[in-house]
Amino acid sequence: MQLTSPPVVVRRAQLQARVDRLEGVHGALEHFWSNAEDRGAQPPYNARMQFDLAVIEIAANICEHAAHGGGVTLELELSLYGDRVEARFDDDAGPASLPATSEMPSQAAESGRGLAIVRRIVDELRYERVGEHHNSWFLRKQLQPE
Amino acid sequence: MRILLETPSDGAAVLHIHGRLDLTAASDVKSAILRAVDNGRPQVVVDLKDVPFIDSSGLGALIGGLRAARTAGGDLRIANPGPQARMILELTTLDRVLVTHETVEAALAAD
Repeated sequence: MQLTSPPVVVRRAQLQARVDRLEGVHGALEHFWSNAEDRGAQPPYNARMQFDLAVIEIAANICEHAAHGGGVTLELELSLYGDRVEARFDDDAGPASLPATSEMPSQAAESGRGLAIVRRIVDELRYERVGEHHNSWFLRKQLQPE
Repeated sequence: MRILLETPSDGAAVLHIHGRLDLTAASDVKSAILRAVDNGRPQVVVDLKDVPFIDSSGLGALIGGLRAARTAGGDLRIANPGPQARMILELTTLDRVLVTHETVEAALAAD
């Protein structure tokens, strides 16, 4: 059960992203945290670093499911509350899937860690295929114990 | 992202990376490591002093480089990891294989 108090900061961005072009997502995160600081919010630095990593990993995963390696249109909403930070993605990439566990691949593996990292970082991760052309992702990270 | 190659001694290469080590940069970084190893410099140090962000693709490049260096009888060590690099290395437990050092000199001198 989440608290119903309004978010301290919300940032919405519509981005064109490609697997090798995630600058827009980095930029949205930087603006988001900058706005949060302007309003006096001081989320723990480690939690902020981890949340940024989770958001970038999801964005990269979305781009990897783009048709023919092309770009995707991505709507990203970042929300900071007193006790948590959330990200919602809506994208038009192909269907994705969530791994069942947060288990890391072997230490010699060069890929396959992205969503396992996200699972280790966040308190909630949801993915849903919406209709035939859209995906919806949701991440929540608690900043204080639930 | 920029990569500066330094060759401090026979068999050793230091790669100073400037910028994010993410999906965009990963293949260039891995290629630079493999090139150094192929050129007879399997003792590789990757300097992260100017790397503010690493993601899973960047880690993949370092793991690929580590494997190539070890196959050639060398090693790949990390120097100057920032807080974000430390965080992702610990989170993935790759800090056990990608050994970090406070400075490039310490990484080069390590046994």
